[in-house]
Amino acid sequence: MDELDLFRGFRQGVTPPDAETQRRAGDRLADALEPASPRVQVPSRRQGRRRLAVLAAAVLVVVVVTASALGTARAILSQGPVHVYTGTFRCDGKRGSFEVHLRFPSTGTRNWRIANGTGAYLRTTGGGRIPEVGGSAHAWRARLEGYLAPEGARQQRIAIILSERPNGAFLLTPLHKGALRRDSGTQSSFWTG
Amino acid sequence: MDPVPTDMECVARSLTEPQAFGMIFDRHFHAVHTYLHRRAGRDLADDLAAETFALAYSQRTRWRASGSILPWLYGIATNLLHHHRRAERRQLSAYGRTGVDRWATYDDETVARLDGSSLDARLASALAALRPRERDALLLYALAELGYEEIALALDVPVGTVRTWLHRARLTARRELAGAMDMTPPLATTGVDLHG
Repeated sequence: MDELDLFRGFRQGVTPPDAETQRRAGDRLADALEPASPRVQVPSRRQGRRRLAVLAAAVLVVVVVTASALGTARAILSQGPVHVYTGTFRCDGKRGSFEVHLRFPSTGTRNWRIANGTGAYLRTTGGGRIPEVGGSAHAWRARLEGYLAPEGARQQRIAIILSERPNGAFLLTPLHKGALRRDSGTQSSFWTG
Repeated sequence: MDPVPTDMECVARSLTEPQAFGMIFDRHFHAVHTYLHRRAGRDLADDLAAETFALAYSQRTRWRASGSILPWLYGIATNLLHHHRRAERRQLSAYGRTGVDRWATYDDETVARLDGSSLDARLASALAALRPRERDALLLYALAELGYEEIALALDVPVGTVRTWLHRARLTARRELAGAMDMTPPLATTGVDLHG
């Protein structure tokens, strides 16, 4: 007989786990199951969203390519309703205050214009485009570029950086020489649309 | 009537429904607890069996699905025992020396005491003389009744390594048990007869 088989009888006849032991072990497992539930579900939801986004992107590519080939892409895209979000930023700087009205159409170019200026910005007109924007509330940032024309002065190219929302800071930087000078201060905003 | 889901199906389902892992627990807790009880005594078994299933749940994606999940669970239980290797060896040595098993609890304490003074104590001495990995392989073979392939899966080593460990364990056991087998012929029978 194999010596190893002798060990099959080692401590044979030990008591099986009682109900209390099993209950405690079950509770231990239940503790492990509970925090794991969201960990298991969240990635799958994310994966689901990712798959949906990939699918949507693929469908869009197919539609655009097909439509371009037929010369009707512009017509198809322009048929959908265009939704416009607008934001008003009140900027208070060392040289005066002004408002910038941001316009974010769901398709097309994002732009802005100045309004209600005081101090150095009194009756200033102008606006431009928004080449950069993004981030969540505390890391939100937008870069506005365009031309401003203070009352009685010629048009001047400037850039405005808005950071954070709804309350944050602004920095106006002239990109060309002119009547407007570098200015900074606080800003507060609200959005419609 | 729905067929009983396999271990593989339970684990797969538990990826989206964690409660499905409860079926694995219900199905295998008794076996894992008994294995640990026979190796390390009742108190450690209570703790480690619970830990085995909690760990198995958190690591379930690492299980290489192959029929029953039980060998993999035995592997986790065995690895958990490594943290208590010294305690296990002390128990076995003391059991072998005194012939009294103060760690395990038996259905019939009288039979246990009588038998404890004979074969089990000698087996405990032999087990204490083995290297830890050889002891793991031997007890997975003898107590958990796993085949070589299953032991390899449980311990995450090649089958050849399991063969080597069991061969060495056999030589050590032969040496340690030689006296016992010569002196008491009934010891050559299985444990079932002894504890019967």
